[in-house]
Amino acid sequence: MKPDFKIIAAILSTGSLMGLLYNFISPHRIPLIAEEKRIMWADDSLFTEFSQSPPDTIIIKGEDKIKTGSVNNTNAATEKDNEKAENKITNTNPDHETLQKKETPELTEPAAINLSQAYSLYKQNVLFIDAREPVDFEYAHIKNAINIPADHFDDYKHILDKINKERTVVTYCGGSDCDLSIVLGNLMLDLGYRKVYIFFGGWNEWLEANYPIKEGTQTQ
Amino acid sequence: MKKVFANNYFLLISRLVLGFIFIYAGMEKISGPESFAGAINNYKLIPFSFVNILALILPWIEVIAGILLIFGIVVRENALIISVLLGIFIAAITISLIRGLNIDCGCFGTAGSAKVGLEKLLENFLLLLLGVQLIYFGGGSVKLTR
Repeated sequence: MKPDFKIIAAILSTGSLMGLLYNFISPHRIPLIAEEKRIMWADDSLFTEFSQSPPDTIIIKGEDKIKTGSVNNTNAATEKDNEKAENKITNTNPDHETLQKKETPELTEPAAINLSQAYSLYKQNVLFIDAREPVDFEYAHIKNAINIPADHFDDYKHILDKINKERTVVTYCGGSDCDLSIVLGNLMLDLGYRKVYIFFGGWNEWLEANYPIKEGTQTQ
Repeated sequence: MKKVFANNYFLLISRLVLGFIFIYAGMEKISGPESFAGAINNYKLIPFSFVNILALILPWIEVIAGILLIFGIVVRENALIISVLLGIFIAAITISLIRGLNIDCGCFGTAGSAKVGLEKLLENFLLLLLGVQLIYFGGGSVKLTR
């Protein structure tokens, strides 16, 4: 006896109808067509003041530290420990972080930034977070960036414990056609980070612009 | 061997197991459509616009098919629906494993929140065997309805 496809069609349509009807009356109603999260572009004026401010004191330690996922905060004690001067930024006045806090507005959703905005933040030594897969990160990444793959966020989110929620961070992934940076940005916002920017052009634009990169850190 | 699989009590047990698992899975997903939609989206297999519709419809099909299986009503048809769904789940999990995605399975909505992995693949495969058994032999003579 073969299955009756009319009955199958009836079951499928009843299920579909009930699903849609239930959604109509349910308190947990969701829109039938999922809405893409619109990307809010950060206004250039937002960076004017910021870029005029003295370089902030956020220091990312050398690659040996990055590989272990350690991100250096700017407190004086940690700085004393860090004797490798080559990766330090010269201006290490502790007041500067406070300056940055005042001048970078808090966000309710991650704001997208373009290449020049990203580079301007990069020059302020803002922390860049690579949301791509570790293998891509290890092959090459924006210099001084750390890796928190958005698809393995649970496994890597302990790295964020060391990053102050007041800090400005920029997330990026492969390019404008990937959404890992947006996913990571939203996850970080959920965790309480309020200054999360998404470098929308991502790795591709950065590479084309010949901005600083770090290659071949494949050894663990 | 065929006799064993065609045994009325074995068929009844298969119906009950598949039925209850699908009712439970469906109910969990119905109670949290948004998180289930997120789970579907994580697989990155279907266009974003269709994610919500699927998240609303799929659990109800699972629940209805599960209830009908338990009561022994149009067993072959329901077993076919469930087997096709299981086949799709197996394909989705396999693709995710190949892609190396470390995502929540979404198999039982938010309950348990198990990750996709070989365990889930095996689980779905065993359920698929029960489904195929029911398609082939029907629901047997032990029914709650006449």
